[in-house]
Amino acid sequence: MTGPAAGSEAGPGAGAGPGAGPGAGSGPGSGSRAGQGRERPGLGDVIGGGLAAGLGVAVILYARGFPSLPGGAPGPALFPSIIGALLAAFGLVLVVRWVRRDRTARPAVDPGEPGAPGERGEPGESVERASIPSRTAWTNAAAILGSVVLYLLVAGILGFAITITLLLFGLMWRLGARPVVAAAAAIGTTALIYLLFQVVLLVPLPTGPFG
Amino acid sequence: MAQDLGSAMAMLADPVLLLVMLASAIYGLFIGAIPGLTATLATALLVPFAFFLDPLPAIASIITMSAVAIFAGDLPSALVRMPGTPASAAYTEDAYRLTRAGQGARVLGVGLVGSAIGGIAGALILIVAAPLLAEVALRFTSYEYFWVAVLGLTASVIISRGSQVKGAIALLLGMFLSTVGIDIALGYERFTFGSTALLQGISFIPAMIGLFGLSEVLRIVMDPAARGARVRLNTKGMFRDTFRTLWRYRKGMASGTAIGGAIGALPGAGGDVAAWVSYAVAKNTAKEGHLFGRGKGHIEPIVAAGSSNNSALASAYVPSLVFGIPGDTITAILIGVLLVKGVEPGPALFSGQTPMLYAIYLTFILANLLLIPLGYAAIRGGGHLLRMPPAVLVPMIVAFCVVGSYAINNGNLEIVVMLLMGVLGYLLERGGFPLAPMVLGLVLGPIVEKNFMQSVIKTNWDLSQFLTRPISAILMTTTLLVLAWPLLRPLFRRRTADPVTRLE
Repeated sequence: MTGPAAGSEAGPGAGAGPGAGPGAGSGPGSGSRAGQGRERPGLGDVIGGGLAAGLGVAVILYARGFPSLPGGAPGPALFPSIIGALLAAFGLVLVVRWVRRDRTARPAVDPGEPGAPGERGEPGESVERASIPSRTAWTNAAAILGSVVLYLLVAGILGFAITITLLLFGLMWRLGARPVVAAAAAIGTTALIYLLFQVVLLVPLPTGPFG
Repeated sequence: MAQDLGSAMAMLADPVLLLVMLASAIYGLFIGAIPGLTATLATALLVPFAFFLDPLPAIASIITMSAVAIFAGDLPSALVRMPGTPASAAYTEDAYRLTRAGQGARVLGVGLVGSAIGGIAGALILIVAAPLLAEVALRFTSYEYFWVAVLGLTASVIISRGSQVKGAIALLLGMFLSTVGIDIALGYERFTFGSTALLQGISFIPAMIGLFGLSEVLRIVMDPAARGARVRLNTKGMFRDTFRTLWRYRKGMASGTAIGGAIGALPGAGGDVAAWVSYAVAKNTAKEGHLFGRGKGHIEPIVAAGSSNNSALASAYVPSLVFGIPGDTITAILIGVLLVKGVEPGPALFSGQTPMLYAIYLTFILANLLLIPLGYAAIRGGGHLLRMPPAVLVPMIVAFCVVGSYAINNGNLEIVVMLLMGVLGYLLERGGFPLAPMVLGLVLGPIVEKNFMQSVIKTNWDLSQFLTRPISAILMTTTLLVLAWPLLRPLFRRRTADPVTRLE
């Protein structure tokens, strides 16, 4: 079922219950206040809240070194300090909420699942589709990030065309495409990118040993 | 007026512009139809190209692409029960059930024509409302701009889906990132840690590509979705059936369009929120509301919500063009691009460059008309668009993210920014922090600070001006009301909410 974004805590007026599906958090009245009392804060809350609070404090401390305006009025430090203070405050709210969480409450959403996917809520956001990523998923994500880093390191030496073709092939293969398909798609994509950026937009892509 | 309209037509007759629009439409169709790829992702990947175009083709390309992408999101909803973009999620269940019951062509026909009508209605709202608001906005000074931006930021948090505390943190994070670089008051280097590369601040376009492009593919590989079965469509008599259905539910379409128009104009809420709200309203007001989303599905919510999301898309341009305050993530990205290009949207657009303004209006209408033949072709083509295997698609998107970021400044720093923001965006989403407020913080943070600092330096820290100027006072009161909304809302809602709370 494509429940309304699992536990969607509400858009404006959504409290009327766009929830067509029988998902746990999709009943009418999962409006923010009512909802937050019910939904158990997940690990993401305490980690995110803690980091936000830490960042807030760090920003305030760092901003104390900024100069003030002539006459002593706060200048460059004013906005960062306000932002830092609010970050720290809201971060603490999340942490406190997690500490005082109701351990008996049923989690409306899997702790790992983005509680509400906001602007980009996604395909078949089913509650059932649990989301503890498999080891393959982790290595695939690492392969994606790794290939961006590799591009940064290698493109200057091998040039754009060779680097991106190899990386595309490797990544497609790793993600499960057949080698023939991967090779054809890698070459095709490279040609398309070259055409769009180098030829149409005149972006000087890194050239390799073969010019 | 007629003369301006004439010169606007002449601006549109530019073959390059038309070609850009056609290419953007096809691109939007493609991205929108692939489940998991959102219209915002499509915008992020389009931005490196828009960056090289003149302002009008850049705006036209994003308008056309997003209008088509939002409709295209209905295709996989109906065919495989996966919304192509979040804006289709509200009525995916109905669309899929109806398709299974053999009414796929009718569903998609209604989605298509409803989208086009909703989009044109949204454009009419824009055409009527924007100049009126611009009259007011022309009288704005730094005080009023400060309050409008604060109002935009506040609203984006209050209406963000998910926890509002998390929305606030996402917003503040975006605002903090926007303070990196040279400060507006003294030209002091903030948070650059001695790096000259950071003097100009965090590069906006690569940040968007990372936040909405790379983070999205990370999410796709971390959480692969199941693929559904394919369904064949019989498109014979589709349009006649479509128009009959639309006429029958014309009230639903009118209210969906109006709701979309209102919600789209709110900062931070786009087509997806509009679709959900329209769905809820239709469900509560329709005679057959109890049939929505179950059994064989129902066509009425598709009429209402399908026209609503396209209408929201167009009305998001009202605050964007008038105040420079984005109405959704797509316009946020667009405004960021325009600012990078040195074009500042604002009321001046309405007094000075009238042909340009009319050209933007006409673009909307043209884009929605273009939608019909292209959408029809896509419906005829059925699920072919969905056949692209993720194993090929994901690396392609990664490559475009890398090269697109590089192209902005021909530098590797932009790729690094893209990479870091991609990881950050993924982690935030996973922790349940919405990204829309963060983008608004990035775009509006500097506007808030600049107008505040200008105001206080002008008057030697006389803060009373923020409160006593009439428009300022109105805007401030509105901001306070928006802030108080979560506290007031339970008062209006107690009766319906309580039983549920107790049950759980």
